Amino acid sequence: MNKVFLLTKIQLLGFFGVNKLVHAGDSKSRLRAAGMGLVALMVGLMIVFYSYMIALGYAYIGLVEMVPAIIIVLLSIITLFFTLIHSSGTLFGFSDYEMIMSLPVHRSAVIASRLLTVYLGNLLFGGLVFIPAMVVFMRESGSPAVLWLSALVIWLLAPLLPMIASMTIGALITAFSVRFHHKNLVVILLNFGAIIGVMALSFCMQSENGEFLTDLSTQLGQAIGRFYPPAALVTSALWERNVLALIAFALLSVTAAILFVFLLSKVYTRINTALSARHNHAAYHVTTLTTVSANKALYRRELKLLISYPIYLINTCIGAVLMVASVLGLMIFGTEQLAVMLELPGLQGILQYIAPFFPALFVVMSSTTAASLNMEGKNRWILSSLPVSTKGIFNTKILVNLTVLLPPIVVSDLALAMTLSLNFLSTLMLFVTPAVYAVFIAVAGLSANLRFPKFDWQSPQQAVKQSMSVMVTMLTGFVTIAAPAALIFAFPKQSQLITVAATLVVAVITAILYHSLVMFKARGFLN
Amino acid sequence: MSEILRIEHLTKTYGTKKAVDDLSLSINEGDLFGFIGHNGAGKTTTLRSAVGILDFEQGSIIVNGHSLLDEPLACKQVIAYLPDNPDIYEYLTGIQYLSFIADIFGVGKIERETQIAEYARRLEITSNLGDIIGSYSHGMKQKLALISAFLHKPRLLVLDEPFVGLDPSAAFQLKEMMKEMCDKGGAIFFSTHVLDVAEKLCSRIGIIKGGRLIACGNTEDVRGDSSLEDAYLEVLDNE
Repeated sequence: MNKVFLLTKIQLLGFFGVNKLVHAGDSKSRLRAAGMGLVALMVGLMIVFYSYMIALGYAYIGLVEMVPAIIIVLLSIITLFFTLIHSSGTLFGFSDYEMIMSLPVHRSAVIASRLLTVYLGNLLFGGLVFIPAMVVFMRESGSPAVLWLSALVIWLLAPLLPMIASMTIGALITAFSVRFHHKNLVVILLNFGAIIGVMALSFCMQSENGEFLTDLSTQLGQAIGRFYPPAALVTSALWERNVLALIAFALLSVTAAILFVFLLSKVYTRINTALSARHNHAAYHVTTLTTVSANKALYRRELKLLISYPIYLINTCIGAVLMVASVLGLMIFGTEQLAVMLELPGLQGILQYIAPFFPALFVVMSSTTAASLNMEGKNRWILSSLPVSTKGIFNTKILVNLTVLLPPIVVSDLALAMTLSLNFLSTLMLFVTPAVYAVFIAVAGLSANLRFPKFDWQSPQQAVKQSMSVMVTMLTGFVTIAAPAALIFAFPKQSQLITVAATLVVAVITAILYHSLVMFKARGFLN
Repeated sequence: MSEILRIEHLTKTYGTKKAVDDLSLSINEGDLFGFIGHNGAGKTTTLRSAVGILDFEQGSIIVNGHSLLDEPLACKQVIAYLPDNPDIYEYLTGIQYLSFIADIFGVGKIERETQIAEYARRLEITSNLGDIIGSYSHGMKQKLALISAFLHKPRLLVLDEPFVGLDPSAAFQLKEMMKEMCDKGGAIFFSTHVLDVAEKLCSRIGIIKGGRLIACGNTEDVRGDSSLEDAYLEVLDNE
């Protein structure tokens, strides 16, 4: 067990560059870290507020007993989704694999340490969601203070089941993909499929919830229980104060984790060996070579970088995939049926007002540039020693981001234009606004990555998932969507004016950010 | 002989520690300049500064008549650099990487085919050029990085410990390639811990200690009547 903690500690020291900051941080780095901390604090406070309000909402409509189950389901879906996105990079293919496996530690200890690292992250996030909701539940249900002990146990165990489910899916995808020559492509496709599956599942649950929301709490409880049975155990443990239910939830969670570690340890080396195996032909002859311009060579290399790391591509392009999937869903079901399913009677009207911001919402989730400098990692000496300008490198990175975003934007907007009946200006903005947001998020991502670079990663997962630049970019993106959307909800009659104005503002911000980017000197960002 | 690299009063600080302290040297056409010193003496910092990878606080660096600070691209166009650890794009095949470098430097089709075929043959890596670099051993990556460095016929080659990881045959070929380049008017600035190699190969030697250049000159002048190893230890002791 001690070795598990030692291995976990080593991984945690690399998180967000904390160790480097403590031992080698200069005043500039410390200032940057303070900024990062502030952003993290803001995000944390937003989550706490959101969770508290959800719980309060349920209590307000007289469904306080459902709060634990609702929160557990919400937490589980989020944990499932985010763990799925980075599970393969956590368990498999990390660069210090050979060094770690050469140490006198059991395979299960290595797996457990990887699991523990993800668990701690999920636990922290879970606390932000679970504890505020429990405060409401305890207060509104008049529960005794001793029940906090049960709540504590549930908080500690809640991440395990969705984590294990996600990691099992991730492990199966990896184990399956290693059989193929183009394993990265298989990993990418299967992961996108799994993520869309999870989204569809949560969407189904939402519609089921909506159906019962106005009904009795027992019916809602049954619906949640059908969807996620452990949530019923949580309700029983906290509402009925059933100790046996608590024990059953604990046993289920811990057994799943132990079983996962045990079973994976049987095939762990085999999967990792297959993953690191390369198809060598050793039969190359220099024949005819083609030549391209320096800019095209940079672009090709950047595109190859993106598709060569599944974790990078999945995390940064998921928005583009979800955008197409959502719009196609909208097209297939139609706004009227969707309005019934989501219990949102005014959906058609809402969509007409905010139509350009619907694809733009997914656009701001797709910044390949936010981690593009991180991804240079130890190879960054190559770009910095080549006779290429900083501007040229930045333009290439922005262009790759637009390559990922613009085709899905066109497809989605065509589908949206056919689904919604919009006037000329709204149809025009349907194309212009998401395109402007695409350029914005590409430039903003690069700008954030310049300020919060992370080059010393051991696995690409660290470069993408543990990067402050990615978090800052997403947060900035959401703010730029939320602000005009809120204005449109407040002044729906001025929606077109607000859309045009917001698009112009974002375009101006993009131009300013781009100007500041190209002022950076080459040595400044790759040192 | 014209000057290819001139470093004047170079100072580079990490925090409060001076990694390179007021270092000046110049390298001319045909020079094979060996840079020796203990670990942490400032060799790599000097080399990285000379190729424009590392920013520095004081001093100036002139490459082929261009200021590295004012005209970095003009300088980099005539430089090739090889770091001590050849971390190259593992997601590309060897030939894709070489083509990328050739495209960036604008090497023509025929010339690149000839150059790649020739250097790959000499370093015995031709058959592996179609494989993903991630499958290469350290030595193979080193060979590939060396081909990429020679490929565009740089005027100045800056190498950090180039012999580490090479098999004896490749090490011999590299020495030959280095001599050929200098015979054709190029210049090489390289660091090494292998004093025998430096003594036999280099026309000029620089010794660095604590960030300061404590000896610099023709190899014969630096070593005097003793071996380079003895001279090196003596110079270090006297400082």
